[in-house]
Amino acid sequence: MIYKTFQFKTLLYLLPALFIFLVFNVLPGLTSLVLSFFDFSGFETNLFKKFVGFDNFVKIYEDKYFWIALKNTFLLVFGAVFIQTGIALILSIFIFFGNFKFSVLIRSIIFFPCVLAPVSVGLVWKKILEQDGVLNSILGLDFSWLSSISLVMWLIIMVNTWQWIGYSLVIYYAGLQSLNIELLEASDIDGANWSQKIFSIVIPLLWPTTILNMILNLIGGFRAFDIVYVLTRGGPAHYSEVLASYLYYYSFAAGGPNKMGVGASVAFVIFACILTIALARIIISKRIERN
Amino acid sequence: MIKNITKLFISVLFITVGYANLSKAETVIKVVDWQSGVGGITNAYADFIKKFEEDHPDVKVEYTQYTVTTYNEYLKPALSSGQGPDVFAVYPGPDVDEVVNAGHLVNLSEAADDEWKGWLGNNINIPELGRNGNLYMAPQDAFTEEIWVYNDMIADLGFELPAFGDSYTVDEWVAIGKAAKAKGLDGLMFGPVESWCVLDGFANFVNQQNDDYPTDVLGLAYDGKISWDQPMFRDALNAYKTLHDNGVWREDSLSMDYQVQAWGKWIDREGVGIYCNGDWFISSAPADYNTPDSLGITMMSYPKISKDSPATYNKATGTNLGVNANSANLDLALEFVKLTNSPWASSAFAGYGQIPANLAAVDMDALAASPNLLFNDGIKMLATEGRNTNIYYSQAEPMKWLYDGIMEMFLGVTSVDDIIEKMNKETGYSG
Repeated sequence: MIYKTFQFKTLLYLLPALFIFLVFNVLPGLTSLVLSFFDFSGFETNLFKKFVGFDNFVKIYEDKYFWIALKNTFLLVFGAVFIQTGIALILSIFIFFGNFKFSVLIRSIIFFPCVLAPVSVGLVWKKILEQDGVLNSILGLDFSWLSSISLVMWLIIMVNTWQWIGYSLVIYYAGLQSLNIELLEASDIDGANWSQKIFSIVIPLLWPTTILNMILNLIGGFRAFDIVYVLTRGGPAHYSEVLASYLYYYSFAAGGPNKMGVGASVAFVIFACILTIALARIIISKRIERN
Repeated sequence: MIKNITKLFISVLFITVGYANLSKAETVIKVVDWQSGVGGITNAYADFIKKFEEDHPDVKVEYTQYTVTTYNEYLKPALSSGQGPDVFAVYPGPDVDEVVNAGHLVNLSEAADDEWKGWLGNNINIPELGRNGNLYMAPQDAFTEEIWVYNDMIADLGFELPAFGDSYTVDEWVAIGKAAKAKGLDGLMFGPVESWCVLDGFANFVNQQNDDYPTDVLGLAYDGKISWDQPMFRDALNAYKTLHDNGVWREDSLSMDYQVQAWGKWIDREGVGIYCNGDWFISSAPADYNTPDSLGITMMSYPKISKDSPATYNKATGTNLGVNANSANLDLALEFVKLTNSPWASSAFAGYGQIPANLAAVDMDALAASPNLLFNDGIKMLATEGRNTNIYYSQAEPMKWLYDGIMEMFLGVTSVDDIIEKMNKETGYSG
């Protein structure tokens, strides 16, 4: 009886959150999935008027800019998962074990860009990277960084890393603070040197934190839009497009193709990518746990 | 606990009902466009709203402006959810087809009375305002789309300004660009991230060499009815290639938009001229170069392919307003839009340096003698004889292919031949 009452009350308390989750997450997600099989410009009241089967998917498959966007997205994800996580790990170990006098200040400075709106960050970096911007003034160059198709994605990765590295660092720092110091003290007695302690004790113990950071950065990488939109709007000529900006271009851009159905199919591709990686992570984690 | 929840629920209910009743106290007409930052439009609408609210004391007009790049983020969800504003602007081109076909717009051919139609005059026949022989949009402002230059900078570089109505050739712009570069300046500020900044100039280049004028050859080519492999299309592409490859604008332009970056840098005098500008910015022009005593800015059409090219202008209407067919306040919405087309409204537009679309409703000579010298030139330019270039097309995908092709040509990853071949293939031109 008590159990039944508890169950009812629990459900009652969960209902508002469940309702919000269903209405604002699940329903739009499913609608978007269904929409990817329809020709919908975004203006029609009846979203599901013109069924086109897999035409929207064929369209993006045949569009070379989709493949550029896909490649760029994976590049950005790679940057977020490996470069950002790697640098954050090095910095956090350096700050934690460095016993600096102004450790808190250093961490605050590194974390500071995280509290800025990505749009502001994009605008500031655009000013820096412009042909008549700060960087060229310092280097004495007249180079168009953001119009170089070979450099533009790496610059976006750099700006993205600069903004979010503090976030990864704070998570790592929390992980370091929860480390069992006795293990390090024991290794001192055993005569372990500094690099042995870092590579054989600290980094392996930080593995769960690393996984957490990688997952958060991976999701962030797939969802990145603001930085790309503000810095380049996916240009020049779509060469810095990522899936999220490519979706926006097809769905909303002024002077764009006006095809929200195609945008929905791109959203489905993003969803499929994240789902595949999430499932892979679960399988790998379970195997690691089993072993 | 249950009592507390009940109390909270009842409180929320009372507040909601109370607010709903409060809201019902007056009728609200929602008007939306994308003219954020265009001072002339903003000021003129403030006058329209004031007058409309004075004439209808129980009505409030809510006017919201979005930026040109974010407008559809608002409009699409609003219209598709059936919660659209009573009066709204629609981007000229493919969007008009979509919005008309979705049944969102009132047919003004049926709804407008004779007085209103009289004010609209020949505007009723502007293709961009209607579809299928019916009028759906009421034009607000008119413009010539062109290049603006600082007179003193042209003089400093040792060049002479062309006669009013004439323009420089592509080669002359190359020479100006090189001279400007030597002084650390740009020949032209250019914001091609906004696709119309590329396509409208292209349309002008093509029309200069259109042997069948006034036939809209670009429209036919977009439809795949004529080949792209013709000198007029090749020369238009080559004109762009020449301007870009010779550094008339900076390489960085390829990541610049027009409205904020290119315009801002031109205001800061980093470039001699600004490409793809228009009369809509008269009210935002640098005040020091547009005083009642002297005008330091010259407007001219797009570069001529050659010295012998005919004078060719891009003239069009800017903001076009439609009335939501599902508006709960249809009559009031129609009345508001009618007001914006009245002779009084045209004078208000002109007073704020915005060229009204309904020029038939105003005294042109009086308009062109205002203390705003740049505005007077805008009026004169609009009245200048020459070829008129259509800049609004409905063929969204062919326009995308052309734009992408030109941008890739700027980057050096595609050629004129490749663009011509792709356009013929994609538009389905079969010979």
